[in-house]
Amino acid sequence: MQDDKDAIAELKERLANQGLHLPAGDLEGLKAAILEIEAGSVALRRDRPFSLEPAFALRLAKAEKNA
Amino acid sequence: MSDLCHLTIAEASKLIAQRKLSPVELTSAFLDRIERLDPQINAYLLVLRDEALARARAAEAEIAAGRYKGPLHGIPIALKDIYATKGIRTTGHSALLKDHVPDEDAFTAAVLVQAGAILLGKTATWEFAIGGTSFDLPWPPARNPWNIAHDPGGSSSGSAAAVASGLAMAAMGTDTGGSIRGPAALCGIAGIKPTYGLVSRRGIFPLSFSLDHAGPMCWTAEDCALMLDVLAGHDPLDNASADVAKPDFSGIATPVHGLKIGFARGMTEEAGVEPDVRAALDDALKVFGDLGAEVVDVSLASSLEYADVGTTISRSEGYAIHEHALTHTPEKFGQSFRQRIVPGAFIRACDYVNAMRERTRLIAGIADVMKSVDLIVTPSWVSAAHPLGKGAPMSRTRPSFMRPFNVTGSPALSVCSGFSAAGLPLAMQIVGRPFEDHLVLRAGYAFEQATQWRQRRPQDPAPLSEAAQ
Repeated sequence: MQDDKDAIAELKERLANQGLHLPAGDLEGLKAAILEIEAGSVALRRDRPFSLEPAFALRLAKAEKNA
Repeated sequence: MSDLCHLTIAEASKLIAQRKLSPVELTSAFLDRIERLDPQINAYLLVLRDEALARARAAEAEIAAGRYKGPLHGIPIALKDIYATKGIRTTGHSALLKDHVPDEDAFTAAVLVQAGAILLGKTATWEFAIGGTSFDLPWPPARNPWNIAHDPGGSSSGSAAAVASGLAMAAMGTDTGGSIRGPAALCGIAGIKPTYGLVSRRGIFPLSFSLDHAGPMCWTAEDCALMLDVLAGHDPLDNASADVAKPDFSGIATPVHGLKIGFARGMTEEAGVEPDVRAALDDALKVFGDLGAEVVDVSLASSLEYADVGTTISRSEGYAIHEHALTHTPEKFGQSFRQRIVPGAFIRACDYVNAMRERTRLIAGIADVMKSVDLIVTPSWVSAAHPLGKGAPMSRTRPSFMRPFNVTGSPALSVCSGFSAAGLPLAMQIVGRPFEDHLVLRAGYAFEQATQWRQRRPQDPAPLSEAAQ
């Protein structure tokens, strides 16, 4: 529960850093939407929990290395 | 009079050309039907009664004077409300543009009017073609004519609902990740996402510059061909418009005997489609086999790979378009829109670039597969329509059969392939090589001619006054 609150607080701060001041009711759904996009293919990094790193970037790097 | 509203464009245009059907009579029938049924379906945000009748009278006079323009002359159509219309309110189904009146027509809107089509009105959409089925916008969401308690899909929701319920003969949609084919599938009509670059997007509110496509939604594949024959063409003011020879749509009735059709078995099985969708697809493949086509399995990349690329690109490009308004007036958007677009704020530039690089690999992969087959077939959707507002939005966790072909730019058509036990439409997708849109439509036409699905229409919903009694 505390983790959820921390995640929402961080999301709010990160949104504000980009000039986004969304209604409070958006945050839970927005967190879920971001996590959904990340699901499966996007690493959830501890230092940047809401940034996206699609799995294909890793695959691409591997392919280039093999090439 | 409703029977007139269930003619196809092909049927009506023959009657109009022979002067056996008056465009005024036809347009009046649609306007009366809209007035009677649209309060239950909500397909339209704006109905242009006076303008439509004036245009119909002009069309009638032109035809009487021997100036028949072709198959769209006198045909009543509708435009998704992200197509700019000169002097006519164009909202994007958003409070943000509630009173927006453009001073220019979208390229395609102008082309259709020049071809003699009669604009009945502007149709409902997910907010700016992405918001989802929303109840916090100035207008209600469209409903599925096969069961108004169900979702018509989106984002071209009103266009699909209008055509399926006989409230327009054709309607224009846009498709960034399935927004023509999805609602076409769930509403049991035909809808084609043309090859990227075949139809101009100028004057259509963008969602994702490199994934957006404009295309027609009609009752049949044949009608889509009649529309696309007018719509296709180079527009030097759309950066993505291709300066290529227009496909020849006149051979749509050519049999499919001898064509090689690839079934994307792995992608279909990976998605876990509902049993009735799979059964309808298996029947459809048998129909193609019976018509003399050779059906083989083909292997495509996982739909999840396309989703990674498509979602990263569309969210990045979409956020770039809407960032200013989101930072200044976020409250003017619906919640669903904000939740779908704002994740784009967190996608890094290098992720976007890598998505574009990966996209070239996926395009090459499809081109390689299509060296051995003429067409690829998949289901359009994993299930029939969900109850309104209850369906999961298209997302990475719910693989899409449609998004891959926005990523590759391939022409892709959805046609009705049967019905669920609850009487809701099921659909399959037919995909072709770039600029072989005519071949895609030819296969759709052959399938529709060989099956009975085009004979079934949704029952008219009870007028609100009767429903309340």
